[in-house]
Amino acid sequence: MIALAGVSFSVAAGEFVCIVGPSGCGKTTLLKMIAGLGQPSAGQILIPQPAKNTPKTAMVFQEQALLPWLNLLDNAAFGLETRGVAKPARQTQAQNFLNAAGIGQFARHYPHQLSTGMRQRGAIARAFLSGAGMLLMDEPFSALDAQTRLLMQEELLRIWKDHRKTVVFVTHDIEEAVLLGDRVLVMSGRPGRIIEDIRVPLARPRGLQDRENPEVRQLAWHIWKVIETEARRMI
Amino acid sequence: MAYLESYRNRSAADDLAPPRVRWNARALIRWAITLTALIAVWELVTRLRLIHPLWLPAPSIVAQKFAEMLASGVIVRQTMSTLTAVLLGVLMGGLPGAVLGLAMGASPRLRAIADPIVAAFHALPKIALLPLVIVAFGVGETPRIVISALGAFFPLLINCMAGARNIAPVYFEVSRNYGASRAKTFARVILPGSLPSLITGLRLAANTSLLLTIAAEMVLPRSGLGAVIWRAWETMRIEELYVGLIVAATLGISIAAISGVLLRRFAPWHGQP
Repeated sequence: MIALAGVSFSVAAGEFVCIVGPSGCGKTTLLKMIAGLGQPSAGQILIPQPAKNTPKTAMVFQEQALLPWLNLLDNAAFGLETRGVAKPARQTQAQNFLNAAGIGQFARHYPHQLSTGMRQRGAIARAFLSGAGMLLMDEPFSALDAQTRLLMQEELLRIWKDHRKTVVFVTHDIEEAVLLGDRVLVMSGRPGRIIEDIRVPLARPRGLQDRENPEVRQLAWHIWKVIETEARRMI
Repeated sequence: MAYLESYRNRSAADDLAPPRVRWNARALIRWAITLTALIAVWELVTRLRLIHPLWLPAPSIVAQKFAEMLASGVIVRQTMSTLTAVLLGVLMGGLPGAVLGLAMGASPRLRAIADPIVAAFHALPKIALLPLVIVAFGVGETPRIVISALGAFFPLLINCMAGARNIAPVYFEVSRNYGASRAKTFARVILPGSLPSLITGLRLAANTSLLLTIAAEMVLPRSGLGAVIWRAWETMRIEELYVGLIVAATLGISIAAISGVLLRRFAPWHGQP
């Protein structure tokens, strides 16, 4: 069975691209292939490597994916560790990042002692610190409650503004996609294809207040109408 | 959006569970009550002559014998002798068992080759190998330790293999995606991920080793708890036999308690959501 067919797109450096589509359309499959965790049966994926020794991509997983046996600090520093950065240097860097993300005082706590929101902030810190040029996020906020989710969107925008990494962000939340992305790619049901490539005409910096922006509403409604047909086909 | 503001300003500490496990005094009391009741019933049964004292001497008599053997130093000496054989066995058999088990858990290819062999040898009653071991190593200290090592090897191997296989695939994906080397994946995912199973394996290994060591001591020249028990039987001093059994049981309880401490100390995440 073919999960994806006719998927072709390019992402500019520093661009924030969101992918939305009905569930089961192969969004996660696509992201895992970009992450090198699966091979496409046909076609190719080209990703530049920013520097020797750095991973090409760093993924933020949908589920709890901090290593349970490492504390928050060592988890955040994991990508630095695999690159061979010495312990004091990587811990300083990670501590600074965690401080900026407002969870610095929990650096020595283990994942099971943290809330889901804090864990996911830790996972985002790990991705940003890894040195990868492209960050891949697979519905990173889907396990969070509605309020935490809004705050995390805002938090992600703030971190991204400071670091300007390329981000490919998969979500099934259309408003989230419009609020976060420079572009929104809309996928069809199985086999997944990209059926629309929409540029979001919204100035940055953005914040939660932009959810009330009529332009955002209009765009989100448009995307919903496109997806609705596909989603009905998939039920 | 006022509710959002208050949510934003909540202390992150609100989300925290107390991070340490406290010593459970209530469980300890329950234990003591059960034990006391058990001994009281035992004493009563023997006093009322419901069971012949040849089968079951009164706990007071066993306790008296225990005190004697403690004073003469014989019980401490023989227990240490058995414990040394168990520890050496766990070290010499358990370490290779753990390493092989982790490797088999992480590598499907190695598992395909080695698992049938492991399954076959695991099924053999290790104590039945004692004659062969004696032929190979003579009747000195060595056969006891070899049998003890055989007892420790398989439980650790099988537990470590299961532990490594049960690690959630997402942790391996993290490791791959973040460019971890093989050595790093072993140190950061496979070993810590298998640690709870490894500790449980250690407990089973120590128990099996103790069992086999005592059994071997009954046959081999006179040393260890097995020798105490066997000599008591040969000379019909049943209360001495019970002293040996009680010490063996106490060792079993200690092994369980130590593995519990190890789990809490080295795998605090274990059993947490």
